[in-house]
This record gives sequence, C-alpha cells and structure tokens, in this order.
Amino acid sequence: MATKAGFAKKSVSAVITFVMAFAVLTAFNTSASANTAVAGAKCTNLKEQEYVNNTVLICKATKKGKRVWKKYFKGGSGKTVTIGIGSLPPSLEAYAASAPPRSFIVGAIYSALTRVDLSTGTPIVKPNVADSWSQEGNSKTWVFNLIQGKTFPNGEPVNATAVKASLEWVLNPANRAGLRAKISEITRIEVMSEYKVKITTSAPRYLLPRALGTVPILPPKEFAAKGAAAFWRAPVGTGPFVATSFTPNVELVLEPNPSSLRVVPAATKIVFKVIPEDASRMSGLRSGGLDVVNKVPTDDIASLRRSFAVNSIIEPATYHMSIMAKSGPLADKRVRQALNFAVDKQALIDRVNSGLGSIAQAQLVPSNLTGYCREVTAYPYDMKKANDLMKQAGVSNLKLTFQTSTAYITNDVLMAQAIAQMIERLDAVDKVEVEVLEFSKFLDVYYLRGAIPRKDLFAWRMSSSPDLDAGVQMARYTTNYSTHNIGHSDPRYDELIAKASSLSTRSPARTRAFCEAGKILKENAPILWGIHTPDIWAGKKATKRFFIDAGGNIDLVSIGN
Amino acid sequence: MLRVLGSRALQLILVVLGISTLLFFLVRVSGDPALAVAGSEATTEDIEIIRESLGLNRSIFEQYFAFLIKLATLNFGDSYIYLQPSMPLILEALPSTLYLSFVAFALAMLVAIPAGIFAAVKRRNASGRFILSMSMLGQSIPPFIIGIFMILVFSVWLQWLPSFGNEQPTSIIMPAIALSAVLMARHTRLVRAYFIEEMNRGYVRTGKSLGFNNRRIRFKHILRNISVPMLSLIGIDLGKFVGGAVIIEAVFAWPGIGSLMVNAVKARDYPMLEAGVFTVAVMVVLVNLIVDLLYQFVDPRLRAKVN
Amino acid sequence: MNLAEQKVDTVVSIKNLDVVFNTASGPLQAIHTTNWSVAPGETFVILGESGAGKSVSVHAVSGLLPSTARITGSIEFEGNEILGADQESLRKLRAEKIGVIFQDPLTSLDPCFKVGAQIAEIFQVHRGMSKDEAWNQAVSLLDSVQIPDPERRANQFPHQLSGGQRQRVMIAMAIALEPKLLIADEPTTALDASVQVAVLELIQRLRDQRDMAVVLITHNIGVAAAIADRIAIMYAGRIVETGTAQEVLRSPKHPYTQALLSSMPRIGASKAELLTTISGTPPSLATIPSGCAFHPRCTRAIEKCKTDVPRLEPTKQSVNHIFSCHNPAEGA
Repeated sequence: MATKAGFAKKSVSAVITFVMAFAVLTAFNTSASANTAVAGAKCTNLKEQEYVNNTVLICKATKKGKRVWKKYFKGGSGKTVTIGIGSLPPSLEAYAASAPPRSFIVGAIYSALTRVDLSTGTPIVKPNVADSWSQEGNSKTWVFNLIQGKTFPNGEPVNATAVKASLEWVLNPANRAGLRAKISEITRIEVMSEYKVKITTSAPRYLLPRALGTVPILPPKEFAAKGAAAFWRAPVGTGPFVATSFTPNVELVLEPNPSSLRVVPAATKIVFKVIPEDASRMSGLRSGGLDVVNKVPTDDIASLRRSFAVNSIIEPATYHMSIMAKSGPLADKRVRQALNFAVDKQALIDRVNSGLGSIAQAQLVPSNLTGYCREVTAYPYDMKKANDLMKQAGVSNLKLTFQTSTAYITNDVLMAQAIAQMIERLDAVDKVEVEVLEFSKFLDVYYLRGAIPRKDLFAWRMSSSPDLDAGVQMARYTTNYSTHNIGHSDPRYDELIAKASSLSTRSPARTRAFCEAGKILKENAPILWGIHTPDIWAGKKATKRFFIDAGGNIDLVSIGN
Repeated sequence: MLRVLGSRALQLILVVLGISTLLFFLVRVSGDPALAVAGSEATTEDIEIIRESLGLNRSIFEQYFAFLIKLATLNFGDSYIYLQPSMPLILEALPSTLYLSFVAFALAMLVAIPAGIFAAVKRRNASGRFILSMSMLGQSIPPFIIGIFMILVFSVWLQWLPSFGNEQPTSIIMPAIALSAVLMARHTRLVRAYFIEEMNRGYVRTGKSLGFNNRRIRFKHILRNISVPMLSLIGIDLGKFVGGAVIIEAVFAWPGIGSLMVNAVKARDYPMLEAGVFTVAVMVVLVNLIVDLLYQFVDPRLRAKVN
Repeated sequence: MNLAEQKVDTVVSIKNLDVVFNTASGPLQAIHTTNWSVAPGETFVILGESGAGKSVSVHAVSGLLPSTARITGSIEFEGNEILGADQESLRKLRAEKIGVIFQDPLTSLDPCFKVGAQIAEIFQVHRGMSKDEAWNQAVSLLDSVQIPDPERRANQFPHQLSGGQRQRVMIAMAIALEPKLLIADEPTTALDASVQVAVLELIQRLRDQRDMAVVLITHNIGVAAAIADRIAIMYAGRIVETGTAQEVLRSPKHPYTQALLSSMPRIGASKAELLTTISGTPPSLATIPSGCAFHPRCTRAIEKCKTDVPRLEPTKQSVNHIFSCHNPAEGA
C-alpha cells in the first residue's frame, strides 16, 4: 500500500516536472523567436548578447560547432562587485559624450531607443526603448515601435512623448548637449501613437538607429520640472541600474533598477572607486579590495597574469600623428611619406605596449566601421625607401618637434619617444625634439587655439564611436576644416568626400568614393599613422563574466562575484 | 588685542582678495575652458555657444566684476564639469582633507619633537646619528614613493590595511604616515639643529650653574625657546603640506579636495578653481593667523611690541 | 685642627690644576699647574687677556666646563676634595654653594620667562617652595639687589629690562641660595661704564653682607683695581704673577703685568684699547710658545726664556707676592 502510494506520487511528480520543463523550454523558445523580428536575433555571432525576459543570453558554440543562445546568469546572484577606475565622468549627464567610461555609466543608468551591442567586435543594433524599427519609403524617415507598458521609476510612462521630448532637447543648440552632433541631421520627430515615433532626417541616414543608441530617453515631466543640472544630480532612468550614490572623483554606487526595461543585472551592487594613481589601483586589486581595475599599465600585465584575469581589447581608436604641412620641408609629400616608412609600428606594439595593440592601416577608421577600405593598407617599415624619398626631396639636417599628450593615451610619452628615435635614424634627420603637453595645453594645440602652435608632429587619438562612420573623420582633412587645419588641401579629395557624404550608407558608390579618397589621403600622407592602442583591464579570476566589449565598455549587466 | 584681531581680519581679506585676483587672471591667460568643456568631437560653432553660455565672450573686466560679486557672496557658480554648485562640492570634500592633514601634522610633530631632541642630545652617539640619517632619508624620498611602498607592504603583502578610500577607521593610517613623512623628517632635523644651537645658549649655562637637572633645562627651557622658530616654520610648511596632500590623496584615493582641484585645473573649470583656491587661501591665511597669535604668546619679545 | 682652620680661611682652594681639552685635532692644554685659593669675604680677581685661561680655571670649580675637559690636580671646596666626586652631589653642592654671574646678562637669562619666574624657579627646585612663596621670595631678592619697583620688574621679561637691571637679576639668581662662593665672569664687560661701577659696588656690598668669597674674572685693570683684594695675572694658561691688589698694581714684577699696567685703562675701556698697548697678540692654546709663553712679545726676553718655563717665586719684599720671570727688571 505504502509502496503503491509512493509510486503514484513519484509518477505524478515526474509528469509534473516533465510538463514544467516543457513549458519552460517552450516559453524560452517563444521569447527567443519573438525576438527574431529584431536585427541580429539569430545566434550566429559568438559572444553576442540578447536581453530576454530579464535574462542575459549569450551566443555560444556547442561541442558540435552549432551556435546556440545560452542563459548566462541569474539576476541578483552576483553579489557586490567593486571596480577600481582611473577616472569617472564628473557628472551623470546623459548627453555629454559617448566614449568610455561615460558610455558604460550612461548605458547602465539610462536607456536609449536602441542598444549598440559591441560584444562581438562589430556593432549590432539591439532593441531597447524601441522594440523594432524600419525605414520608410523615401528613406529619410524612420519609424520606431516602442516597448509597451513600461514606466520610469517616477511613474511617467516610457512612450513616444518621452522620446520626442528627449531628442528635441538634445537637438536644441542652446542646451549644449555634446551628443547633438551625432543626431543633428534629425529635422522632425513625430508622435504617431503612444508607442510609435516617426523621425525624419535632412538626408538619408542609414546609421540613425545606431546613432540613437547613445542618446538616452528621459522622463520628460521630471526633466522639465527640475531642469537639466538638477536632474543630472539625481537622475531617473530605465537602465539596468540606479545610481544610489555618486561623489565626483570618489565613488559611484550602482544598484539594480526595479524599472529596468529589459534586464535585471547579476550583481546586487556595483561600486566604482576612483583611484587615479595606476600603482595604487593595481595594488587595490592585488590586496583584494577591488575586484576589477581598468587602465592596467602595460608593465603590470605579465605579473598580473599569474593570478588575475587580464582582459585587453584594442581600442576603437587610432594613435597617429598629424603632420603640420603648411610650409617647409614637410610641405613636400615625399618627406611625409618618408616619415611613414621610417616608423616601425610592430616595434611600437612589441616594445612599448607589451605586444598589445594592432597596426593601424593608413586610414581613419578601424576595420569594423563603415567607410573602412580594404585596399588601403599601412605603410610598411622600410628604411631604405624612407632614406631614398628624403634624398629625392633634397632634404637634409632636418630638425623636427614632436608634441605629445601625457597620461591621456596609453603609453603616450613612451610612444612619442620611441617614434622620435625611429625618425632620428633617418639620414636626413638630425633631431626630433619631444614636447610633452599637459591635458589642457594639449586641447589648445588640438584646436589650434592656444598660445602654443601645432608643431611638425602632433600625436593624438582619433576615436571612432560605434555610431560613426569614416565620413566624420575624413571630413577633417578637407581643405580648411575649422578645427583641424594642418595645411592638407587636395581638391580631388574634397570632391570625393562631398560626393560620398551625399550617398546612401549602403550604396557601393559611397564606399568606393571613401576608398578613392582614402588612397589620396595615404598618398598625400598628412598623417603619420601609428597603431590602435590597447585598453587593458584586469580582474579577479573568481569574478564571473568579466568582459570588455570592443568599444572599451565593461559588461556591467552580467558581471558578478 | 581687539585692534590686533581687527587689523588681522583686514589683512586676511586683502590676502584672499589678492590671491583670488591673481588666480582669476592666471587661469584666464592659461587658455580657454570652453575647449575642455566641449571635448574632442565638438565643432567650432559648438565651442562658441559654450563660450557664450559660460560668459567667456564678455570683456575681461566684466568677467572680473562678476567674479568680485561671486567672491563677496561666496557663490562661485556651477562647476563646468561637475554641473553642480562649486562651493558646496569643495566644502563637502574639505573635512576629509582637513582630517588627513591634521592627523598627519600631529603625527609629524609627535614624532619629530622627541626624535629631534634625542638626536640632539645623543648627537655624538650612534643612536643620534641613526636618527639624523633616517630623517635625511625620510626627507629625500618623495611621499608618493613612501605611499606606494606602504601599500605594497601593508595592503598587498600583509593585507593589514586598506589601500584606498576612507571608509574604515584604519584607512587614515597609511595616508597620514605618508603625508607626514617629509614634515616629520624635516622637523626632526630642525628640532635637532635648533636644539643643539640652544644648548650653547647662555640661559642653559645659567640653568646648569643653578643646579637644574637636564630634564628641566631641556623640556622646560630649551623646548620653549625652540618653539619660537619652529612655529614660524609651521606657517611656511603649510603651503607645502597642501601640495603633499594632493599627491597623497591621489595615491590612496582619499576623497579630499586634492582630486577635485587637479581635475579642475585639467579642465580649466574656473568656478571650481576659484572656489577651491579661495578655500585653500582662507585656510592657509587662517592657520598663519593662528601661528602668528601663538607666536606672540610663545615669544614675549613680540608680545611687547604689539602691546 | 689644621682642617678646621682651613675651613675658616678658604672657601675654595685649587692646587696643581691642569685642564686639557680633547679636541678633534688632539688634546689642548688650557691650564697649566695652577694654584689659587679664596677666603670668605675676600675678592680674588683673575686678570688677563681673552684666551689666557681665566674662565677655564674658575669654571673647573663651577662645573660649567664642557664634557671634553679633563681636569687633574686638586679642587678643595670648604676643605673637601670635589674633583672626582659623584656628579649628583657635585651638582647639589654647586647649586647650593656656588653662584655664577656671566658676562652677558641678556643671553644668560631665558628670554621666554619672566625674570621673577626665573628666580622663583630656583626656590621651587632647591627649596621646595610653592609657586607663590617662591615668587614672593624672588621679589624680595630683587629688592635686595636694589632693583626699584621689584613687583613690577618681576613680572617683566629680560628684554624689557636695562642691561644693568638684567645683571642685577643675574646677581640675584646667583646669590639666591646664599652661596659661599660667587664667581663673576666678566660681570661688567657688557655694561655701560656708569652702570659698571654700580654693579661692582653691589657685588662688594653683597660680599660684605653675606661674607661670600668672590672670584672675579676680568680683562679690565680698572675693574680689578676697584674691587680686588688679591689679584692673579694669567697668561697662556699660567698664573704669571699673584699678590695683593696693592702689591700687583703698585709694584708689578712680571714684564707682562708691567706692560698691562702701563696702558692702565679706565673703567669701561674697550678690549681693543688694551690690546694695542702690547705688541703682538696673545697666543692661542694650540700654539703656545715654548719656555716662557710671553717671550715672543717680551722686551726683556733672554735665551733661557725660549726653552725653560720660569717658576713662580716670591719677591724680596713679600712672600705672598709671587711671579715667574727669568729676567725681571731692576728691583724685583
């Protein structure tokens, strides 16, 4: 009797378990398939992320080589994660800039229309405030269908009105929003219905959904009532986190946001500690006070690797030097080419950056952005050619000045010194003097504004945020460009850039025009191309899902202890 | 005494006004804050808009007049980068800096005075020479190095003390020692030098001839006499101390006004710079005022002049 | 019996005293086999140029020589040998029985304390008095050294007093514990001429009142003449002539004494004035000439003076008038 009852019970529970498992699997499948309407939802790119039903899915390869979505963690299981960081944005302003660290802080607190997933290395635009989007007939208008039934933490609805108010605020020049330049082509924002917005641009803009991924949507009533400055001090957003405490230069505490639109983060708390001194930050990791640190000096990598996880990505930015070519020997393009041949980029990577980084091709964007041209490659290291070119140009006893920032770009001063030495090896060059500029002076020189003029060589970093394409960067080398006039002027180049800008992003003619312009740029060499510098983070091995994406953003949603 | 205080207060106002004015013009010749505010992706038009909204397109005299009003009302306006009123930011961070400075200073004095006296009395012995050479060493090692070294030993290796922040009660230990080291070493040497000098003074000989024991002569008479030159040095050292505090705050991620000021300089954040320098100037002038008053108390020769 | 007699006769008596300083460049002998003594109520003046060793010989008694000094010979205080006695009892003895006045009263007083407090400190330390008691005692002591308005002066700091007043304060401190011996090391040198006389008179008056022995060091013959009962002339670490004031000043026997007296400066004469009257400069301790140390400057020097140190011998007139010279002038 007892055994029979036991058996019955067992079989009932077995059935229930089976049914439940089936139900869960089905639910899983439906949610995944519901998402296939959205770009990139099929699991093809390794490391790609999806936010589904408050969970993070990550694309992984099975043993058989098939790629499947795997649930990566349970929300709230990750305890507290403490991150030592060299600097934090001075405020929680959402519309200031789109480079890290601001990009991942803003992304943690706020939600934009889309989310640009950079975990695979190539930008993939994902739903966020918008569920889906499409380009309308004349290709100047986009329609965004918004997520439904969600509210901001203060109760205001996440709807078309909020989208319109937020974008219009950014577009108003009086508000000085740093991100205005990214969406300045928007001419009109129309509320079609509660959850539908139509956005019109002055010219066809195929990258609009990508650009909008960096512009958060805010609760319009509270924002208007408080005013921007007060709102940034106590921001209200629908990102995965709420900033529960923020002391500029000291600390930022993030905790899960109950009003998060799409995902519950793994960690119950993320604490950013600002530790500007590199050595102190590394000690904080070694002593156990910190779980993760950023901006690891290249010297520390070897020793850290023994007991910590080191995560390095190649920054989506190019370290290069502009060549002031308005007059003198540098006005001769052969001299500028000779300089390009004289710099051994691989040596910069190996000797200065501990083998991290990659050679920059002789163009202005990294390979994952539109406008990148496969045909334009880096100048090879060739001293003979360099010396020959100098001889042809009839240059001798050249003295050059090399301006560099300090503590702004990874190993900037060391790289400047190394490059100066390489150039000095040329027969025609007597001396390359390195001039180190502190940050504000560096900005003056960059904008050609201050008391210090831009000298022969000026090293800087051209960063390419994921929403940009080559057009923005290449425009800087058109004749008399306002903030970057270094004497490069080529009518054919200007013409090609103008032509490319007027074409659709998807048009092959546009890519071809960029390629042609790129070739001219390489030939004219107003730039001494360098490398893509590394961005290095380190973390405890026990810290789970410690991951840095191609944009230099740490994955705050999945990290946990 | 009241008249003295009155004239001192006037001096204080003049000094602070002078320093602030100097700073006002210095930062304005140093470059354009609009560039720092704008960031690297802004266009020339954006920069112009920023200049206008910050009032930087007005004439320097208009700007100075506006600055004087700010100074009078102690409201220096919103920080360009923190987007918050600058003075409260400074005042919020100030106690932490003062706490660190005070502990470090007290520590320096508590060690330097006995060590200096010991080194003076035992100047011919190995122990006295050891203290002297330690103090030379302490003075020649930059506080930054001392800080990093202590972190490596006590945080990374022994794991006794936290390496950053100010949340735990033990957090103060390493920053205070690192900050005090230079002052401690310097003042050990000074106490020693002054002490040796004073040991040859007539009143010491008188004390001996009167049969006073060494302890009485050293701690009652000599110490009192060396406190006069020591005090004046403290006023001078204070400026250096503020500089040292900025470095130590960076090394230990100690949340004080140091990092605020460093970033303000980098970004040419005028309101922050003005509020910060104003506050530091007031602090330094106040401490010097206190030192002056103490000076008169300690040195009767000065008191007589004032009265 | 002899011992008891001595106690009455001499307060301090030094015999065959040698003082050698250990310096980095080797030992330097500051005092050579020196003898002198002083009786209660007597003023003994040691006269000589600076560097002659005047101060060294008296501070061997007061205990104020630096620790590098090696003292040999004998120092008897009230009949008891004090050389080699333990430090603590010596410190007490010196505090109680020996008072010292220095040349510069400004630096000899602590600038940071009121003069009243500095005097009172003596009573507090050595007599165990309360602060108030000691203060009252200090005020009456100031009165006894003829400082007008002593209540007010006691409340002042050294820099607020005149030079003469400061020296009176020093004297008050020196006699506070009613010492048997008062050592006055150039007590008037830093003072104005008019004040010098008053200070010397005060010392004399106190000596008489308290029956103290006074040892006064000076380079000034006028001062010596004004106050001395007996005089010793020192040159290069040795006494070259000694006797009563009258003997030494009226009929000097040693060529050095004679040379000194021929200048006969007034009270208040400067050092420079004295030095110009003798050719050459006094030797430093490191380069004391052989034989009679005075021979390079002496007009009567003979060969023997260069090699042999002359012995102190009494004059024909008096057994107490002693001098050392190989070739004294006529009548010696």
